[in-house]
Amino acid sequence: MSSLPEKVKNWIGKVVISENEVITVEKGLWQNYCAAIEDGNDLYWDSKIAVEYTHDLIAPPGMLPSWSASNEWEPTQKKRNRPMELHFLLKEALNLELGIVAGIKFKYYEPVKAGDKITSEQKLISVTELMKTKLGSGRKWTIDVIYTNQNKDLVGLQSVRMLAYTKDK
Amino acid sequence: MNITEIDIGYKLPSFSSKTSVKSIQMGAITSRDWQPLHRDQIWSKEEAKLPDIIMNNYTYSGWLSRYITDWAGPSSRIGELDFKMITPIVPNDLMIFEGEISKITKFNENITWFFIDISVLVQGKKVTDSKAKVAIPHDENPINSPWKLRKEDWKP
Repeated sequence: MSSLPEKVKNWIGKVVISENEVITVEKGLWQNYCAAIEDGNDLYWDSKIAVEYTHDLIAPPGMLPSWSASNEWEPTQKKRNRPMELHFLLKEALNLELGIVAGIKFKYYEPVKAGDKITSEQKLISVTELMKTKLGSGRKWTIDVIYTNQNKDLVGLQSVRMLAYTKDK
Repeated sequence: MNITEIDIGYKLPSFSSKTSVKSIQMGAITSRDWQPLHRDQIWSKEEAKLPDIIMNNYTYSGWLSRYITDWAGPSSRIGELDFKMITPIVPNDLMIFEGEISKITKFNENITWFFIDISVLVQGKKVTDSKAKVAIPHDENPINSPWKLRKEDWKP
């Protein structure tokens, strides 16, 4: 019999968190990211070249989840979700204090461009029973995220494999 | 490079880059990841018991994408990227990227799908294992760019 709390059992197979157009995609934001990884791809920097290949500058695909992350502070003081909020809700519901990302799979569809507003939906796919891991006692879970733009076009799918654990005393 | 002459087993040129406190913090902050284990050295060591701040996963995906498109050119289009983090990457790690073509399939008359196995090594040890699927046009003629496909024709 599963040892999962009812709340968590009810989340499996469902969209638990939605992030609706929290920020507007901007060239300056993605070029800061490109500077961090020293990525000079013309499609992110040079509009003359980008127009030939893509019709416009595009944001680096690796940054897709970033467009669903709320600002750290906002003047409205409204409650903000943490990046990958469902992961934190699971840690709290299952009393597992630490967590790491074990692996991620992305599929990229429509490119993200300046002015886009991205919506994401976090869906819980699976949670394991409590197990012994190298880091401590914990559970693994998988969260799928669906990203769409303001035109309802699919821009990406993300599947995140996570491990959350408590250090053994 | 003539992309149509590349076969399974072809090895991409390796690439290396040394991380720093600044580069790991920049990657996290610019990818809008505010978690302390990517930016706060004291918290990472004392609270999380990590060796140092660690690279966040969106910076990983950026480096992997960059490795692919540096080789394949800006007209290439990544369809799928899958990666597993085996050991965290920390400041002052010299990352060495190595890639090998594992499968090739036809996309259309002007574009080919290449499947690439990528490893990131630090001090000779594999720290990241990755698989990517990328559409590469056979020439630089913009008319053949996979980015110009109609959305219903792009099936990663």
